[in-house]
Amino acid sequence: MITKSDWQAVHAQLLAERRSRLGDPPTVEEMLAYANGELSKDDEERVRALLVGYPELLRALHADFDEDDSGEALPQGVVNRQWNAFRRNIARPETGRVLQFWRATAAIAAVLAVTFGALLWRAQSQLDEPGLMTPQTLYLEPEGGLRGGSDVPKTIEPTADLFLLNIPLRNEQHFDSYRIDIAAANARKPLRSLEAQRPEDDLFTVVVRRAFLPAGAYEAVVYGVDGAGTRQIARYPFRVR
Amino acid sequence: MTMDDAQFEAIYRQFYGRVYRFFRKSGVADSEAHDLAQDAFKRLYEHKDRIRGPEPWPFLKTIARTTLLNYVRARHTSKRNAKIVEIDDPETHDDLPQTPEPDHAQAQQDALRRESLGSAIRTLSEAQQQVLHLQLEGLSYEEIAAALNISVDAVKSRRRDALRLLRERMRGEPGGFEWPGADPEEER
Repeated sequence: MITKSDWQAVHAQLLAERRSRLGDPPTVEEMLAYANGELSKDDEERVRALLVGYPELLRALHADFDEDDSGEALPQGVVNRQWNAFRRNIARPETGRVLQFWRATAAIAAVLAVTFGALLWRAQSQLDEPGLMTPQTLYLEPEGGLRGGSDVPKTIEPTADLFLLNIPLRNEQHFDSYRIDIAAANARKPLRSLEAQRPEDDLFTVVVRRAFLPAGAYEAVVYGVDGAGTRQIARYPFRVR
Repeated sequence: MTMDDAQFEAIYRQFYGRVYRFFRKSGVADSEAHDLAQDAFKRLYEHKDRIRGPEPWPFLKTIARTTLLNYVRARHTSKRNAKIVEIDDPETHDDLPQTPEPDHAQAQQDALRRESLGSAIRTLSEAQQQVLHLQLEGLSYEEIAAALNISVDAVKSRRRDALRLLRERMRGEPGGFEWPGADPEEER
């Protein structure tokens, strides 16, 4: 007799075959277009066949929202805490604003969590010179679209002489300290940061002069360091135009 | 008119709970749901100039769904980043329970039965297979209809035809088959 466990085993096997035959899941844009009925007939059939092989995506595509606030409310303290964390993450000097050098230094020092030894020294040498500067703040996303990140590397359109690269730490495992490397594609030697503690808001900010990142493809890699050694935690690909 | 930070904070406080609940209801763990909600609001903040009119909820819903889809999709495409565990690491074997001796004859029977069922399902049309797979995933008729962009009647019809064909093709199987979550009215 064919039992429930037989059905489940065969179902799992056929889904695996379907994924292997049809390949990676559809892109988010394709899924949204499918749900909105905006695809051609052929594309709709292709995306439908793929989605059947990835039922978690189908569920996500059709998941319902609460349309009012009758659901269980979050405690006000939780919302306050989340808002404060959010505000810290978005707090940044306004791009394009002209700052006097000592204000810029203070602003950078306030957010600086990881410093790139020689780079920082040279950057600070520049900062110590009286003058004007316009830091450009950028947010990098982890590779592979983790937690809503994009599959496409972030592209930086340089508008300033100094980059503040914000690197959110998503890994929940804690290490004694952390290190960040930035490497150009095919580069033999990465730019290597000093080790730093995990920031309270899980957001590393790296200061790099634009001159050190000429146009090209790069990758920031975060490492966790503890007694067991150094372990790679996440990669953040980006491009500079 | 550009939205100022005070207006954005009001939106955040009004809708944070709804966005968080959306992720939780979608099976995301508590701490991850907060992370995803933060990501969604970060995207809203980055695109706050695109909020049309006084009601940001429709735009925020699109962002939250996109965030969830990216999150789920990444779990399928990031296997190359998975941690590699040494299989001869003794620490990974410490807590493994002792498994009983396998019944080889029974295992062979199970494999043959499943192979026969798999072959029968493969002979169904793609449309019929899709309905069966989604029902085995636990989706209701309405959910399957929405997922496949077809009517509920079409779902029922495809399911009925698929089960009839499978019964014919599995006639030689002793005891027939039990359809998980079978609808008795339709089974007859």
